[in-house]
Amino acid sequence: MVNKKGSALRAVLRYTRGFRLSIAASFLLIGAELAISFISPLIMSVTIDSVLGTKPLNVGWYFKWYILAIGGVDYIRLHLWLMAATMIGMQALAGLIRFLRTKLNTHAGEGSVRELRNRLYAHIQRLPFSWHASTQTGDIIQRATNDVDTIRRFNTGILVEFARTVLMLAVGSFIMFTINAVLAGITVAMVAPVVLTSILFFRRITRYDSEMEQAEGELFTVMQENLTGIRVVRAFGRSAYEMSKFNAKNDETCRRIIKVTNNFASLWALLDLLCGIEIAVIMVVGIVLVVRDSLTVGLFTAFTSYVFAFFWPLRGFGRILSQLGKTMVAAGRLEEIFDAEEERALDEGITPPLNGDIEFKDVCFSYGAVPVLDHLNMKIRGGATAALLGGTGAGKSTITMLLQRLYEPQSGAITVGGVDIAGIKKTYLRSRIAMVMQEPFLYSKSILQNIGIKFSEPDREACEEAAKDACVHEDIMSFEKGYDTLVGERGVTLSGGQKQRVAIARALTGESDILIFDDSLSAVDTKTDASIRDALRKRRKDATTIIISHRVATLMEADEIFVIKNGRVAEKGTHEELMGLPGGIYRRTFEMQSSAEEGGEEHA
Amino acid sequence: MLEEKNYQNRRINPQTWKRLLGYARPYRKKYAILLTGSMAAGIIDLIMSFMSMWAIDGFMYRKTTENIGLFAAAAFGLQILTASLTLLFVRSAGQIEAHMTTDIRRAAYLKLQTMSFSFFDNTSVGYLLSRLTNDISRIMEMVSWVCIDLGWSLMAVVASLIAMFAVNFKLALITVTAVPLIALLSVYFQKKILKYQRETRRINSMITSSVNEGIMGAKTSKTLVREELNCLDFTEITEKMYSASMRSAVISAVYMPLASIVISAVTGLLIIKGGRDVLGGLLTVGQLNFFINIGNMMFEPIRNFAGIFAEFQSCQAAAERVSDLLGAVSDIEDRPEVVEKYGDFFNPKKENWEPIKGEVEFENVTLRYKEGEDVLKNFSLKVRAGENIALVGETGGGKSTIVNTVCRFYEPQEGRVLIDGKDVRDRSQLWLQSALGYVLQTPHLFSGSIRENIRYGRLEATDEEVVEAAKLVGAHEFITKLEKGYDTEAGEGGSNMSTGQKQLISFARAILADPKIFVLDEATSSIDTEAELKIQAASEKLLRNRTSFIIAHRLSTIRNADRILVIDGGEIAEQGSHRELMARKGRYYELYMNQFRNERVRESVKILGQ
Repeated sequence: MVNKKGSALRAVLRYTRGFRLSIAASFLLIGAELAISFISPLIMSVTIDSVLGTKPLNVGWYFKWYILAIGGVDYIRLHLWLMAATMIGMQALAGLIRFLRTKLNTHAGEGSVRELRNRLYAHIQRLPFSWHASTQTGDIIQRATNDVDTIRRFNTGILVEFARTVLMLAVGSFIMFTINAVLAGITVAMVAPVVLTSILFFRRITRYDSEMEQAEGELFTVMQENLTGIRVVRAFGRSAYEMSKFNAKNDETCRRIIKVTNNFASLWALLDLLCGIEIAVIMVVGIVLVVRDSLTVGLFTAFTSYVFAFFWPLRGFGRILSQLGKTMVAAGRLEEIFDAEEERALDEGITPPLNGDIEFKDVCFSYGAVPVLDHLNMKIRGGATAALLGGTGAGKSTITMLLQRLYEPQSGAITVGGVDIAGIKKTYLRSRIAMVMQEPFLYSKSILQNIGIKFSEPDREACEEAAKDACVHEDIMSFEKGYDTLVGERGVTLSGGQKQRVAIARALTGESDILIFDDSLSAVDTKTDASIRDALRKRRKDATTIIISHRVATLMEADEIFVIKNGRVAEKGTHEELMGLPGGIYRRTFEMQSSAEEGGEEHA
Repeated sequence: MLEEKNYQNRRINPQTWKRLLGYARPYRKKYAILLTGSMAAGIIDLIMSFMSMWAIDGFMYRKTTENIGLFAAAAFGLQILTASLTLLFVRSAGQIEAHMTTDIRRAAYLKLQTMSFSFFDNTSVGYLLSRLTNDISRIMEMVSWVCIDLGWSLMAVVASLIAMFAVNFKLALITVTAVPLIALLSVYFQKKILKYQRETRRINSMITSSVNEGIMGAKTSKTLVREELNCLDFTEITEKMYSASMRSAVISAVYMPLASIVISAVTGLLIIKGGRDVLGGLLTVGQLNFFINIGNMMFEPIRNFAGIFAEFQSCQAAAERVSDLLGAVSDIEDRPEVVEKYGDFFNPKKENWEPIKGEVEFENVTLRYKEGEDVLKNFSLKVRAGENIALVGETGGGKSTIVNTVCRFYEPQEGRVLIDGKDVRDRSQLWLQSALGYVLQTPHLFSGSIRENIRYGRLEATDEEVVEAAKLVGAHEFITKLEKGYDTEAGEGGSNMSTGQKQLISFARAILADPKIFVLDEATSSIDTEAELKIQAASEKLLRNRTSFIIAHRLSTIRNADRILVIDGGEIAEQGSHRELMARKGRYYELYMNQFRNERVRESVKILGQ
């Protein structure tokens, strides 16, 4: 636990790397700003005591030298504007420092968060395929947004507030003690109760706050379920029931909110009381001290303004600490992502031509303890069209992933044109292999950008050509903005079949040596399926093509068909050859599927 | 695509606020307390300045501690009063905020419960939820807490002005010169600050969706070798965020110092003029100090005023959204005389409800969602009570519209829909909808146990009846196999039930309702063949004596329907029994054969796995 906390703290510190100088400089400026804010009441003090009054100069060295430098009190008495100018000059200086300090703080805070975000995003992008396949995306998204926001709040605000409070205690106490030890003592004595009250209450408030959030979450669920299921609600005539369900949660949330604000009310009132007592004590003691000549009127006025300046930041100390706790938790959760190892050696290896034969030699692969490929041997001729047929979990998709080195086989080798792909540069290999998955992911960019995703400036004509081949051009043109239509949340929602065809168009743009269609025509009808395959044949030139499908009609024209079963090749050959195997899997599948042609009659 | 009405208005519209502030009525007393309390706090702050003056002039310069007891009592008393006021008004503001939020949310939610389906077709759930949560909270937070600022600021300014002029006219004039300057500065900058804050919020949501996409699409990005390009895209957005935040920070870093300088200029003038007066014996030191305090104190209330104004402006859009929701009118409403007789959604007068037999008739119905695009045109159909009707045809042909019109979820623009020979508009919506059994393609279950979900069909059903319904649809078997059986959590994230299983549960729920009219909208599309056979076997029993409308994707499920309607372009293209339609070799035959082929492909996959 301690160790974990320590590493979280180190992580929080690490997130400031590259901005530490700015942070240090901003802390210095905060010190200067505080010094000015504590010195400026002394202008009034000197004016009251020595300029308008007759007391000798009674301020610390840090201000005395200045008064002497501008001519001393007797001179100032005749030139009161000097004090006015000092006042304005001091505020201008403070303003300038404050401006610079804010810039530095924001630069450090926002800059470090920008770096953190970029680093995290890049890290996630570079994590291996297997990591993405085995983690819950929802959880990772949560961390990459909410937890980063928590860090952001810390880096851009809490850190500065913390530093400011600590520095203020130091600078403030120093100046107060040089003025009057008794009053300073009284002031400092109140620090502990104020801070303690703040911390204690924030503990409670944090607890009630999370209770409130939970209630709000439940309310949200009720509302969300009701609105998404409004058809069900209405069809069963359950409006009244739903209303009472809602009211229960709505009222509960109301009670929780009130509980939190009531606690805030108590906290603020208590703090007001503590600070108020402090001010009253300072005033009464101040009067006594001045009357006894142990304090001057001017210094008394300075002190009264200190008390307020001193206690205001302390009130929020509990909040700062509770935020610090949250920040540590967030950092710990982010570190878990950072700890995962990035995919290695993406850009290392050779770049041989990839249009040769693809060969799987004795390849074994398992996901954890689940065996998938069992000494698989398979050879696909370069430039040919190979088809894979197999049941769910037979290992077809795994074959395509191994080919792209998204996973590495546990034993055996895969060669392309005789070269072991283990030595081929991953980025090269993947960019020369175009793959369409069954449930393709489209980016929230325009359709044009999606099709030409491999290019920073997609060529409209080439993309349209590909879209026509993928039989999606007409669909696209039916949208108001055509190819410039945005996909996703802020644009159109494409149907499953449209998505698949856009993904096919995407795979067809740009040059590739190997084309893989992983059940990627499942959501389009038979006719479209056929015309897409037709277009494919014409355009693929000498690219090796691998088609995975359950539809025999899709596969039968392939140069070679592989039936995969239990991670091995069970049957292989052309359609005719496989049909020649009586009782073979392929033949049975074919018969079953084609029997539909004549089988309809019996349903009449 | 559904586009949200654009709420870009930045002008404060009193009408909008009038409707919202109507909800403040029950809390008038609390508001009064709040306002009085915060005004009192403003006055106390002023009195404290007088106390300082008293301390300096009355004790220190007179070198006496006479009456110090009185002074101490007053000082402590005032501070205790301040603390109590804080307690009072933070509590009341919190209560006002919580209660008004609750009230308005309830009103909006109630409104949503009675809106017609066309409203939901045109408004996404996400937008509605954000109105019910973010928008309402934002407005209410402002409306309640603003009172504290308003009361305190108003009092602080007015009382300070009076006090200043009472103490010293000339010095008061000097101090007052700062007011318009600070006000101008504040209005200008507060507006800008809010604008930049909005901008950063906008970019922040861009970052969120970008992160989302980066993670959701990571696998695809790997196969496309797009990782580094994605990173570049992302860096662009984070860079934008950085610059926007810098701008936002710099603008407030200019504002505060400028305001301080204005105030220090006033203080400077006070030192010059006041200092001369003190030297000339026209002014006491206490009075001079009083003015300097007040000068500093004036800034906060003026800044508050500007802040309140800017806040109101920035809340305008949210307020309009909520106000529009509260004022929305459903396009299907029961007429007053109908409500009078049959009651409304929440207070039904069931004693006046006629029993439903289930005869349905469409009489020259024309229905459109958009002007110029008729979904149904002059559509007529007569269904006997207890008849089983199946609707088939291409997506978008109007099948769902027909069944939803039966349920009166949509109302035709022309023509009538009759239930048992009576225009549905002569009955309340709840009368008809209470007699429905409705199962959708995407089964919607609520959070809660399976048992509770089935019971949704009839709230007073016993546990036995729930089990009975589950048995009828063949769901009992898999439910009892679950670890917690009927107590298994059914909602999202609760269990790993398949869509098919969820469909069975929603089926059981509909059965339990014992409906007169049954609507199955692609209800069996995700059920596996075995379960489907079970339902088919049961459905003969289930649908007997009930009028039913079945939209089926899988045509094999509707072969036993009394009548099959092939719907195309809002019209009946073919109708008849399965046998008749197959014999005709028309549209139905084609659809059926095509499907049959696909079915075989699916089935053959099983062979491959064996």
